[in-house]
Amino acid sequence: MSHRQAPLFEQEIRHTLHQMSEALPEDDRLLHKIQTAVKEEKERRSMKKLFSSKKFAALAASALILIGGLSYAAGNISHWISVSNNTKSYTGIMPEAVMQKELGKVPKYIESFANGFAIEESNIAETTAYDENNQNAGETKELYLSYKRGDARLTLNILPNPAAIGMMTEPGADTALYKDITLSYSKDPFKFVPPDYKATEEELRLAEEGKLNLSYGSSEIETGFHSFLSWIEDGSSYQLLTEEELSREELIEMAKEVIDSK
Amino acid sequence: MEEKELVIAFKNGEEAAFEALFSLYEDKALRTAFLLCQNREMARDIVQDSFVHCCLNIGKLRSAEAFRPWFYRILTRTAFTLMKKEKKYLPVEEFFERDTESFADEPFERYAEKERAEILRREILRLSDKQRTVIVLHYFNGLSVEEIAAATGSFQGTVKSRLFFAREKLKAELSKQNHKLQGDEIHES
Repeated sequence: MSHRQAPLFEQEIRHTLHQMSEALPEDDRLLHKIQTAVKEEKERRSMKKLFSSKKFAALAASALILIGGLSYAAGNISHWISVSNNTKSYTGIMPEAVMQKELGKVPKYIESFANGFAIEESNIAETTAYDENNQNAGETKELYLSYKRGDARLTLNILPNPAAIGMMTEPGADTALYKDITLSYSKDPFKFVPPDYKATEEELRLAEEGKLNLSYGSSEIETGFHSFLSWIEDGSSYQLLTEEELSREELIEMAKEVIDSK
Repeated sequence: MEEKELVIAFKNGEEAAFEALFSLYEDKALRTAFLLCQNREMARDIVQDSFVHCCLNIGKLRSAEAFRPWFYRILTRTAFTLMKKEKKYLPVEEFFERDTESFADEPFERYAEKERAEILRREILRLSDKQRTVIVLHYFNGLSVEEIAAATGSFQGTVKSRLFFAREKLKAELSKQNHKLQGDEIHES
């Protein structure tokens, strides 16, 4: 075939490919199937992340009292489950427009703390409260900000509307005051156990009392301490959470930076 | 809304933007998958898995302009993975519902045209997976050599080479048929 005939030949290829492709009937349900599969996969990944990531271990615990004595469930709320949304996960800090859209407000936040912790990723999670019959008892969105300093990690969890999921808040036993805001500190043991782990009665009792965060999902038993610092400002709940060896004072300084921001 | 704006909105988690992108790509994606795997059910699986992968990984797409090659990269990789896994290729001969009607009463030109199209179909399906992929992406999806290179993770030179040799194969088969038809015509006359 000569050079001059080449375009004609290429037209033939195009035409043939179009003819060959016409045999496929449309599937009206394809979009729905995709959306369902995406939702399921996101939930599967999120639950895996939730239960395998130490930073969310405390939030995955089905204890009545979750956050260091500050937060507790109102009425018949049994537990909360947070599911992070991978499409709303950002490296670094997410745009404030996204926060506004997802949370209805732009909360206070810090990108880099003075002690070296810097933002690594930000994520919107959807938290659902469940009653004793495991029925949905309220939903809301949360902002997770993950920070890193070397190998050390820390999470700032911001819940703009804790009441929506029956999460009541009041100061814990160990508090500090800054600009009329009560900061509540606690350091609680956690036990991260495999899914088939049978908790002892003592462990269940401690979990019920909020003295032990018993979380399921690890490949082997891990124990340690979670440090929490929580406060309420403008109706939003702020929770600093870490497993690292950060002192109470260091966490309080970090909280002050958040409160002083903007 | 233009494709770039849709991709940006999709990255920001807007479900409606994904649905609009899906509408833009669905038909072409199904046809492309079918051209690659030659199996209707598998084509649907390929497209479904590709869009699911796309949704789950849209955050990793750096530039909205790169969506098209990025999407076809996902599609072709998904196709190869499923084709390898399922091994549901229809034999080439079964793919064609060959026109069995008699060509006896047709003008010679029409008959020759049909024969060429038939040969082209058969030979496209007989190309290697890699050659068929570049032919489909280039001539059916309209991707440039650069975009195909991005979509297949190959060097541009490799893409050009595959396109060249694929075209040469197709030309060679058509040329054989031309000689045969010309011989038939002379013989009949």
